Amino acid sequence: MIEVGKVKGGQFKAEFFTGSLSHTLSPSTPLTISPAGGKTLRLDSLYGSGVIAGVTVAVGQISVISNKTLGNQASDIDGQFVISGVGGQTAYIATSGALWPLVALEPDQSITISTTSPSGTIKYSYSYGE
Amino acid sequence: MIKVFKGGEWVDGTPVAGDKYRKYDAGGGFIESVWADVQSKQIIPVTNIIDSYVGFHRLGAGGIQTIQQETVCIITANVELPDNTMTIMLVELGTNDEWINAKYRFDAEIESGVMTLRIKLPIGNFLLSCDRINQGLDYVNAGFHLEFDDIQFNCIATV
Repeated sequence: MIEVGKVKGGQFKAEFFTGSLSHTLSPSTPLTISPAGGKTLRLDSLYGSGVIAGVTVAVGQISVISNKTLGNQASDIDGQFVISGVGGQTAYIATSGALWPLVALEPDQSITISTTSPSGTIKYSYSYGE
Repeated sequence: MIKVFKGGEWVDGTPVAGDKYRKYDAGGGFIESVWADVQSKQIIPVTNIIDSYVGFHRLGAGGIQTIQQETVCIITANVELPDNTMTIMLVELGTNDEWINAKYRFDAEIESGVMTLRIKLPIGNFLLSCDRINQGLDYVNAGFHLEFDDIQFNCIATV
């Protein structure tokens, strides 16, 4: 089970944050995020510019969200998900489908976002630390 | 910094469609993907971005720049474009970070490869959005896209 918002042994302490980033996601252009060496990665926010079906989020080799519909910022619809911003950033207002930031289980572990949809733009931010 | 996977190793370079690439952040982490056809429009990186402020300014968590209405923000950056004037729009964000409008527009001057943008904002939350600027570039058939990380401004009231 992937713990959310925590790492083993205590609270995640971020050392590096990104601002809002974007990526055009398609079956041939999955996005893999990797932390700096020895650090633990946290996916702080993830949503679509529009709604994107068939999105999978994997921590390392483990799919923690599988083939779900990624909502946009105006979404509040059951069956869609977004990952919300963290405190200090302009926070996504939690909706029924909003998940807390996703923290990798181990240092150096990557997070991969992929889709089966033809194309869609995702907005995301991440941080890493210990 | 962008690295491209060529000849079995990661090397500095500019990706073309189909290339695996890594884009490094300032902390040493990176994103990895495949450069897509949709991204094959000429990408002009905006580098060495320096923001300075005349008036109140505070850098908050998540890299959000908190300013006041009276604050003038001056952003300079290197960009390999000919001398020109480029209108830059900022996106106003709503409560849920949704885009409300892009009516706050300012002229940036490009001279000898240096872009200078001066902005002054009303109270609210604004995004200097690479996506939105590229939409504008597409609209005028500019033939290129800019590449930079978004900058968010939180403009607060003066008491």
